[in-house]
Amino acid sequence: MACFIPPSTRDLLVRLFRAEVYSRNNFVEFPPQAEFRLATEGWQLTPQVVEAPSRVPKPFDPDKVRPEDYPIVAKPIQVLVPAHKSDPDAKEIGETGNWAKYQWQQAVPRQHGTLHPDGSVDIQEGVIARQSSMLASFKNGKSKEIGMWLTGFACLPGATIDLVGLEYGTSEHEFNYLIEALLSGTRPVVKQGAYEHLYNDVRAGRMYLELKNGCSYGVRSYKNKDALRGGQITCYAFNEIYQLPGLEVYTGHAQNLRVEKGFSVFTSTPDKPWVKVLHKMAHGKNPGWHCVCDNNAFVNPFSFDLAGLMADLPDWDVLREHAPTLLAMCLQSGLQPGSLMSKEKFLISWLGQMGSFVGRVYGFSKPEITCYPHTHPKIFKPSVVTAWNQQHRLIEQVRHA
Amino acid sequence: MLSREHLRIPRNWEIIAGADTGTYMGGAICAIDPNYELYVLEEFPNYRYTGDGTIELTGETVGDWIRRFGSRLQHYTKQRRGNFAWADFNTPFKTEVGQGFKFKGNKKPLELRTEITREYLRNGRLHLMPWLETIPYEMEEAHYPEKESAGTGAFKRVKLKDHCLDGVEHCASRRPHPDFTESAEAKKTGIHAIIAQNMRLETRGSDPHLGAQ
Repeated sequence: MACFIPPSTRDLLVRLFRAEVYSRNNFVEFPPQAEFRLATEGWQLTPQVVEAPSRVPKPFDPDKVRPEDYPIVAKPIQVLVPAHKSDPDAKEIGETGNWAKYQWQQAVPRQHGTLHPDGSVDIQEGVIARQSSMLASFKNGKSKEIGMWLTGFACLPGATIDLVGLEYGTSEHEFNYLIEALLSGTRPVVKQGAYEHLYNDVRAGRMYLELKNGCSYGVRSYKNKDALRGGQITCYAFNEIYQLPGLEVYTGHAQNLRVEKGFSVFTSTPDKPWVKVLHKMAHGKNPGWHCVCDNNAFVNPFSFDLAGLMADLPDWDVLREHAPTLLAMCLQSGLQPGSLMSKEKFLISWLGQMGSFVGRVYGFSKPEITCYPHTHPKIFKPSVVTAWNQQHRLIEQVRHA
Repeated sequence: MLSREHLRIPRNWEIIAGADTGTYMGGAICAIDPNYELYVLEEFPNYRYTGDGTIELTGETVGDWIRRFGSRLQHYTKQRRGNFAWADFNTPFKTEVGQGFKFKGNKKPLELRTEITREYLRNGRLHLMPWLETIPYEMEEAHYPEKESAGTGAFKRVKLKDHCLDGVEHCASRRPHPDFTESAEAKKTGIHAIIAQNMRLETRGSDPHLGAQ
């Protein structure tokens, strides 16, 4: 099926519906999760802590039915952050030994500036990132966020959402969070019987949810990648993308998103050098891309284990260099670095860092060293270089326009 | 869509080939330009990787693989005879194997080959053609043993999924240099002759890389 709602209206509907699902599930995000969601809705989360609003606004007001009633303007966002137990607002998280508190941070509209030949700059506000990646350490809340984020599309008649992983099991958690948020609880968002099909069989490779309005969520395995070709897709969610061969998993299927101006989201631990492409695209190259990166395991107070971190820590210098904010807490713990992990593994597993890939023999990303006629004209035939440059000029002109 | 037919290799560039022989055969043809930039032009695997990285043979016979590799090498060198590809020193294919070419044993050890290739990459002098699929994958997959992740060059990398990559490393480890002269006549006289001669002499000695004398 296909979703025929215009993209601007669709984005608004998804945003409001998602907020309603979050509210019903009492789901408050960690800052990296919130940053990821907000970028896909046209906001940018800032670190500025603000006063809690006296009255929490409802996601949707039945009296306000025009799109102008829901503008993208600066607003406070509630997030859950780790805290010291001496903090008066801090609450202990179960038996984890971790403490956390709710706080409000300011979110502002995402901006993109266009420079004109006369020197003037046009600022566009509320730019939505349709390609968004979340690169973080293990146990950072990536799967939960993707599962919850995808619930927003459930309001769209005929929308098709594909969760793509190397195997069906790769997307198991995301799919479980998704159906849990939509179908469970005392006040389920999708009432009993309001869905056509629900299969959740990982071993048989049958994981599929189709709602009565025609919206469908399907889990796909990249091993059967030929089946991914064709179709009109509203959103691709690539889970643990580092396990997949390269960015061709996106570029090979992005054409299916064009009709609906769909979304592509990528979650991964940055465990392969090529993942750096997502990072590079997002930081300054293209406002349609966003990257939430450099997130350590500490942001998730539900699973953070200080003793485990200290056991794996190679030496103090790693923290001094890469996570100075954690250093004081680790020093106070009275534990010594256990060196169970190499520096590279530690940086990826606990700090979610990418870049140097110390243990790799060749630290590079493919686009950086690939020759094209505009980068290496001397190795290609002149006719090819001319045709290529013309094509590039055209692309630049279109982009500029 | 770019393809190998769009290439134009100037005559004064050096063509060099490397290969790894065995059940899984991989080869690479490279070119070096006057600025010592190494371009990996083509790859010749007789295998492929599936989505999860498992390696499987394509079913191409050794004879077919040699014909494919040899004919492309002939195309680049413009010579019907005398072509060769560097391979492991213990390769059994030391006599002429077909298409007028043979394999030469490269005595440089693996860690040295790897380190020299890393040197090219670090200095931005290694370039891949956009149609290559296996070599970029193998380069990304190449890693040191878990306990030796320092990457100092003193240790061998893990020998896995590296057959075409072996070919590239053989090429780089020979430290190829281009033909500096525009023509054979110019090569015989003048400053070009001195430069060319000295360059040859320099490469004759043992490679001082990593202190290996």
